[in-house]
Amino acid sequence: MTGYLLRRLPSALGVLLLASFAIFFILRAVPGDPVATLAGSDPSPETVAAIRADLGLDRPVLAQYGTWLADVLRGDLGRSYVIGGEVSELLSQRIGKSVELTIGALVFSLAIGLVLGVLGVTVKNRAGQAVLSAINAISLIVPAYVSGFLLVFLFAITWPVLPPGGHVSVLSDPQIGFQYLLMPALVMALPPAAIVARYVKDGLLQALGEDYTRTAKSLGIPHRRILWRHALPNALPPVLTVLGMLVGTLLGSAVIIEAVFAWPGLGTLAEQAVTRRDYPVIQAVLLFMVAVFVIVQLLTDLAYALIDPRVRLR
Amino acid sequence: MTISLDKPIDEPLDDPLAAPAGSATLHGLSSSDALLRVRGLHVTFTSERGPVHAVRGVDFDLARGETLAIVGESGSGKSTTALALTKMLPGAGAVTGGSVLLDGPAPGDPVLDLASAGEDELRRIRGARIGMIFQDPMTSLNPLLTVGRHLDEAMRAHGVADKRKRAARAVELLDLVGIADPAKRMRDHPHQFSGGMRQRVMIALALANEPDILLADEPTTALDPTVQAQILTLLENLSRELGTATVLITHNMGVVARSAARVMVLYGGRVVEHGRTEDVLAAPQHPYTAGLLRAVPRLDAPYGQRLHGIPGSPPDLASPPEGCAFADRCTLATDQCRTEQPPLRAVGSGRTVACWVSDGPLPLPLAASGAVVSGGASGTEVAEALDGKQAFAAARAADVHEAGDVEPVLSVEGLGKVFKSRRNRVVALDDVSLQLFPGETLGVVGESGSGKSTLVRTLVGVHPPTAGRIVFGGRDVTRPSRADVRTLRRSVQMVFQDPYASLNPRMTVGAIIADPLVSQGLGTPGEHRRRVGELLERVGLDPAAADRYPRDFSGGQRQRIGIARALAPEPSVLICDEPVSALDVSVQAQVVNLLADLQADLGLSMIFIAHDLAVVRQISHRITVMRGGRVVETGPAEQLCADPQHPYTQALLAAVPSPVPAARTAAAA
Repeated sequence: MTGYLLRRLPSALGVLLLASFAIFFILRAVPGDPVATLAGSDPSPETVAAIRADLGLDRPVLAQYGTWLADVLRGDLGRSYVIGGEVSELLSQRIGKSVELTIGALVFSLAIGLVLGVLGVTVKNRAGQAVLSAINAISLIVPAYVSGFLLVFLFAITWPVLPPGGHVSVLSDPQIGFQYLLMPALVMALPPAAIVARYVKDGLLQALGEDYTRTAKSLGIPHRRILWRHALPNALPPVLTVLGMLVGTLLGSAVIIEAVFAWPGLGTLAEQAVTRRDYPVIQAVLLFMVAVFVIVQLLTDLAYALIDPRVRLR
Repeated sequence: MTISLDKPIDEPLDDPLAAPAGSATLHGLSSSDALLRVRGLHVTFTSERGPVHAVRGVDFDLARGETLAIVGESGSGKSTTALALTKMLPGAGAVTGGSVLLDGPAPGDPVLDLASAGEDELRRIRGARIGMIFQDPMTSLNPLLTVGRHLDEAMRAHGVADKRKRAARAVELLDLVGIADPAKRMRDHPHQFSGGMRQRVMIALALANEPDILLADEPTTALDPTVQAQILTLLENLSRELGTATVLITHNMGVVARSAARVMVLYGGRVVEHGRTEDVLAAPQHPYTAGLLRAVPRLDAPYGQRLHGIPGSPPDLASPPEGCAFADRCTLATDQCRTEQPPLRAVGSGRTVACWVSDGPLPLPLAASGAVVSGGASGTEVAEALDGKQAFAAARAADVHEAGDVEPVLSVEGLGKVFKSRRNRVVALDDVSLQLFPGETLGVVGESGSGKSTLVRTLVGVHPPTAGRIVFGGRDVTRPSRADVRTLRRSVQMVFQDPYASLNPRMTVGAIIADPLVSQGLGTPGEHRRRVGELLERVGLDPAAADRYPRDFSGGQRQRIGIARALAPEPSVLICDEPVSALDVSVQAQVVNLLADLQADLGLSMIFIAHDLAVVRQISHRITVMRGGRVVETGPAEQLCADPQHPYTQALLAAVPSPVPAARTAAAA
């Protein structure tokens, strides 16, 4: 396994390098400039030039990229232009919170997806199937800012059982922390859950039609056991693949969900940084997300090998 | 028409029969002694075209410890019958009539009707009283569970609560079915076992709870002949030792002759003939049984004999025929056959036949031993067939070339192919040399892993060889130039194994056949149309078929379409890769004959690859036997089969079960 990871390392680093390049240049191709924020209203051209020179923004873009990349490789993410402080410090304050939210959302999407997927196979009557399709469709299409406000309205205002927003670490206080986590993680999890449900259902239907399911049935193994112990594991590999890719969507949707629930994570930071064109912060946040995505893909492959003994990691 | 269920159909079965000494033939018992009694079994599948009556009133008894074979071709209802016994039918199928009476586990226990039993009751029967083995060992085991876990689940389902006891018994079972080092192999997953070993695991699973009945649905069909022989021996030994009654479903008459005391022939969802194996196989009384036996290629038949197919195709069971299901394909059929269902009538001890016409044994082809079963009706037919046969054989023999006689069309020298991966190095072909002469059929025989498929792929340029030379028409085409590739694509054509997967379902038959012409830019659309019509006629199909789609055709017809496509660019070499392995024997015979005729008429050179030596012998001038990527023996077909030199060829020949029950009886005596 270590050998496999080492072999995968070059391509993972390549992806990161390409991503860093894309992030850096696309950001600068977007109209707007951090100087506009920093220089205040109606600045003189000299002030603007001075600030530009100070930040190094007057140098050729490629040279700026080189300097930034070299710094990043040394572990120096730079200083924030606008928000203030070391970027690494800004990140470290928020990474934990984002990880908490993302993991919570992943667990929810897998759990809800599994339940809906298995129900999709076991519920035989038409009405039940219609209800399931409706739940799937609604989870998938209702945007987070709608489902988020709806939940806040219901469970924080009309029937105040959960806090409307904010964050308490699950690690420091599991009970309270979970109350804060529940709604944002759920809202974040809904669209991926619908996709997971679809993959679970299709995978199960296929596995239940396979010869080995017939073998299990011919041995008198109870249907429930065939479903959960024999068919489900065979349905999981594609679910894992799609879940790994959904992590990307989750990271993206964090921006909106953190805003709705006042969750002080990377999403909020990214949003602040983007509106002010705080280049070093945006770059660091995006690069971090890409790194997470790359790592998740590696983990997906490892999980494949764990589930399916036929998969040899090469 | 309906079949009255209250009719005492079981009467003939009550006919007492002297069981041969020392054998476990306990049939012909009065129904009270039978372990399983099936009466008037009906199975119906729902389909878009309305209900399909797959099984239409099947009756049989199974006594403790006996082996009953159910034979028939695709669509005869044999597998459906087996699955219906424990209601294991796929979603669209249901038992719509009859009863399946299973005796209680101990004498005096109540009899259970499985046909009307609930799912819970059936679950307790499945695996515990009735075990099943299926055809494809590669897909019948769950790839994610270890073999030990499979066995554990099987016993857990039937109340063996102690985990350690289950584990101990699992090791015992693996040992019983002949898996070496069972304690260690328990932890292995199915993919770590070969096909034959997986089938042994399947057998261990089916026997885990010591069932009284074992339903084996084509248990050796997917296996190589030498492995098939091992598995059949294992099944025979186990059923003898454990006293398990076996229902053996197969299409292979050789397997029936070898393993079953009694045989039941199904056609169109009904029993057409039923009796002791030696009686039925040696002197069939139903025209279908006789036809089936005539169609089976035999190693002991005279060399070069044409195979006898059964023209026509099985009835459409969505609208079952009023009369005998076989009437449309039967040469003896009368008006009564077409309008009235023939009842099963007793024609001897423990023997029943459903035929209006047949009156005694029907003729079978001549075996090399000279034993002819003479029948009343069609002696002249036999004589005629013999004439044709001899001419055919003579032509065949005359066609055999000696090396150096003429220039070969295609020759391969010292061909090698090695597949390399990070850790593995697989030698798929090792120093293979072959010559294919003009107008010759070269049979290539070998089991899985022998390298025959790699050979074909290397010949048609899918894999470049890693050693050796390929010479086509005097030119070295080992590393073909662009022009060589063009010539080869036109001159070397292939016929593939799977007639269902090898035709594009979205193209018309005409477009499929013209495809090689279109893609190689040969001829105009008008010429294509003419050529397609010509080719369809050539392969025995209606030229009007050109406008239809593959789904409208049966397996045999599709294979004809595949052959027409291969012939389209007028190739000089035809490579047939297991062209008949997916077909029923009655259809296989027709396709083999077609290929033989085409080869002779068009002067084609043909490479015919198969694992069934008996088929290869009939069509080939010379045979090459491959094993482990090497050629072990090459020689004239008849000589190679009559006097094999290499021990592997001998083993391969010995492993082919002959459909002659005499051999079995003699061996048992």
